[in-house]
Amino acid sequence: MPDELRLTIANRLDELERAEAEISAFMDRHRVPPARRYAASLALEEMLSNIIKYGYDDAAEHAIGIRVESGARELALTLEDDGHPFDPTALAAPDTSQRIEDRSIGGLGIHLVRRMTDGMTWRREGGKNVVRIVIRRDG
Amino acid sequence: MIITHTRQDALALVRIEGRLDAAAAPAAEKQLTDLFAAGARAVALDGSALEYISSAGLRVLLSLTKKIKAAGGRIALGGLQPQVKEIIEIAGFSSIMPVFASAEEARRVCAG
Repeated sequence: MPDELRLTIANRLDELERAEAEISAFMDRHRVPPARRYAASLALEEMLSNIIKYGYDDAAEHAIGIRVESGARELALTLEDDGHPFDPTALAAPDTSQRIEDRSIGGLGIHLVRRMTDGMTWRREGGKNVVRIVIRRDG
Repeated sequence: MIITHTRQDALALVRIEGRLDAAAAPAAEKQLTDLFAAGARAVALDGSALEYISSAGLRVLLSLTKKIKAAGGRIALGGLQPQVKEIIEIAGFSSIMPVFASAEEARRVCAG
């Protein structure tokens, strides 16, 4: 059984379901515990939808690379996109204590991912954003 | 995602099942907006079968909450599974709408 899943999706929101289905099946095969599956699923959805909605300065089709590695102690999710440089690790946490009337949801998705997972790194390499998210199996 | 509801005058019990994610959000938004438009002003959300929520799903709940509060109504959430509850807490939603251990408690509070 391969320990790695690689897939490429186009920068369209209707591609999210296919990515989720593939990764869900991969996590079934690798017996990922439910709480960790939630974190992986959330990381995938939030990071991909963020790239698709805000990552590009043109209307062209772009490819987004996804890699999931299953190790003995952790899962690692790596996303690669050729959008404009964006470092999600540098994003300030949103003010979740605001009154409801003043509340917007900008930045909340990435904040949730950072809180639900065990590490996020970003690098710019060859004109691409490369984000790696680690989810400990026992986390 | 499946949303079912039962109505009794202004009180609505809304059960959300499955995944409230980016793919499900537009349909959920429409159903809840229709419910509000039909006069629901006290909404008890039963989260016992809600397996997953993302920021797109939270946005749907926030939008409904804003409408109901602006109309002077009540909204409460109950019966959440542990991971969904954690997301609601991290997002700070527990300060926006009361969260109860069971859907029945949420219903009682909304029924006033």
